[in-house]
Amino acid sequence: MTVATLALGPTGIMVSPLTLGTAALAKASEPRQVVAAAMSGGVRAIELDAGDAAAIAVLAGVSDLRDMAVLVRIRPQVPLDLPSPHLSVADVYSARSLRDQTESLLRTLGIKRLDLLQLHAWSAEWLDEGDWRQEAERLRSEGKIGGIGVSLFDGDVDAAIGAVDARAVDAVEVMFNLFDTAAATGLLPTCRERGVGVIARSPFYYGLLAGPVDRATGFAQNDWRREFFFDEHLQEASDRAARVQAALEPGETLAQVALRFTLSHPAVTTVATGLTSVAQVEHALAAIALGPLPPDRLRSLFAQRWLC
Amino acid sequence: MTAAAPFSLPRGCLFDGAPAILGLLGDSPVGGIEITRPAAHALPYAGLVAALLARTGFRLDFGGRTPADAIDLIADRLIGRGTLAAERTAFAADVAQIARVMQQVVGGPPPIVSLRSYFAPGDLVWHLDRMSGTAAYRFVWGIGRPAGMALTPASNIDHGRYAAYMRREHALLGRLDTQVSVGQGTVESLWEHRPMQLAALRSGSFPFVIDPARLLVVATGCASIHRVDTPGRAGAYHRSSWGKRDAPGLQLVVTASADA
Repeated sequence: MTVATLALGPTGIMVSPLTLGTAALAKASEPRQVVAAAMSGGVRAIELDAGDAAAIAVLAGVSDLRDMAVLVRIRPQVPLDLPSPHLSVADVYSARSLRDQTESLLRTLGIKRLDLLQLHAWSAEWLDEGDWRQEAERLRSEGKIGGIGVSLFDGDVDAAIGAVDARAVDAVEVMFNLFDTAAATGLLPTCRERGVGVIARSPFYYGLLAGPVDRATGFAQNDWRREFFFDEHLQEASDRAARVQAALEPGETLAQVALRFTLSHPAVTTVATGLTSVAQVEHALAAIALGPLPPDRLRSLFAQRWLC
Repeated sequence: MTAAAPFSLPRGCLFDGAPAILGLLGDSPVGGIEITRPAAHALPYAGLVAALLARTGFRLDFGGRTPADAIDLIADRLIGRGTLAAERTAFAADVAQIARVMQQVVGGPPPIVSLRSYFAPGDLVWHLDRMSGTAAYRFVWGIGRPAGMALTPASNIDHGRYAAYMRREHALLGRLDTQVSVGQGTVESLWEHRPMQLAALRSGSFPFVIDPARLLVVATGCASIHRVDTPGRAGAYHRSSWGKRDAPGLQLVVTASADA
């Protein structure tokens, strides 16, 4: 299948509208089949956490990985439970750690370039601190990375506006979905104006917008979402998802509408989501093929926002 | 000084001295105590407080400035150069005395002092103040505010749920603080689309609180001292009262740490 690709900001790296997220890939029963199905369906971007050894092990055996744009979130040197502006960027992302993680991943994955290197849980205060920018430029000039980006903690959408405005980054990864539209009010228009790429993540809000989730059976014991969705959170998110579902038009599914909603913003270059079965890949690709939602539908869906 | 009942907030006075204050803090079931203060209208600097509260909200960390220099800086900028000079002097002397007592409570370097007059809605969520070091305490006095703050022990917080809640809400609360401080709207209007979260800000009944009744409220007009969370000692969870949102008062915060 051929899927149109778009350039990711000023990097010139071409990515498909759908990016395969890998956070849950290793838990899939046939993870390499999932990757193969995505690639044969036209997916040309894959997103990876540099600290996710299980996902890296899966991808290390994928022979055609060089045909994909590999978008990496590098691992902070200290654990970040929340945005941490009180820490200096040098303590979190030193030049040494950028280089070490990049070179280690290139070796393990058997590829020559990481297309995008992202600093996760970005804090606005870090823009002019440390030597991360200089090191990123060195890695770029050596051909080891294609671009530099920042990835934002849930809800912390304004943290990247300074970096985007200064064109200090090529791309931003941000949560943007039916429940959380905060990025639409400032960050996404600024990215569009400055020509910075946008990787919109979590279109299904960690699964709640992909279909009903039952607390007793929905999340495995070792799934981090079991704790994240405490009773009141799961109840409210489920009730709100049910309201969206009740207003679907004939033939639509909640997951497809949620995915198309995220993709519909003109600033969004690609939507990153974790898919763990071939059926999920096919369903997502079918949604992508339907294209953006019409403007009046988008307006009504914006009323579902509550995490912003 | 009055002895604490099993679950009540001990009350003391700054002039009881550091050992007595430390004793009360040790007895407190929530890691905090009430400190009696004169009523706002009876302060020798009541006119200065009223004049500052009539201006746009501000915050100043004193940094290396003396209380007199810091108060001059704020007052010169907000109400006019040299105005209310005698009241400035009285206020600075009071702040210096409070800072001295707090320093004696922990036996460390001079405390960190700040003054602010705006309302941060994020403070309506139960939270800890955190510092490195061995022991730290924070004195908070909202001069002229219509309601106090509440304290609850760390044992009344479900820490897993708290982490999950803050993962979802932390950045949203930060943005709400900014929006309110720049006058984009009221808390109620800005979070109209989040009725459950707004209700929690109003009531203090958050899903991570184990027993909503197990809290103690600092009496209106009193200041408080609470334990700051340090690697070695659990801090006191606290939250502002919803009643403060339209009149936060002039908030003096003095944080004393045992470590430099």
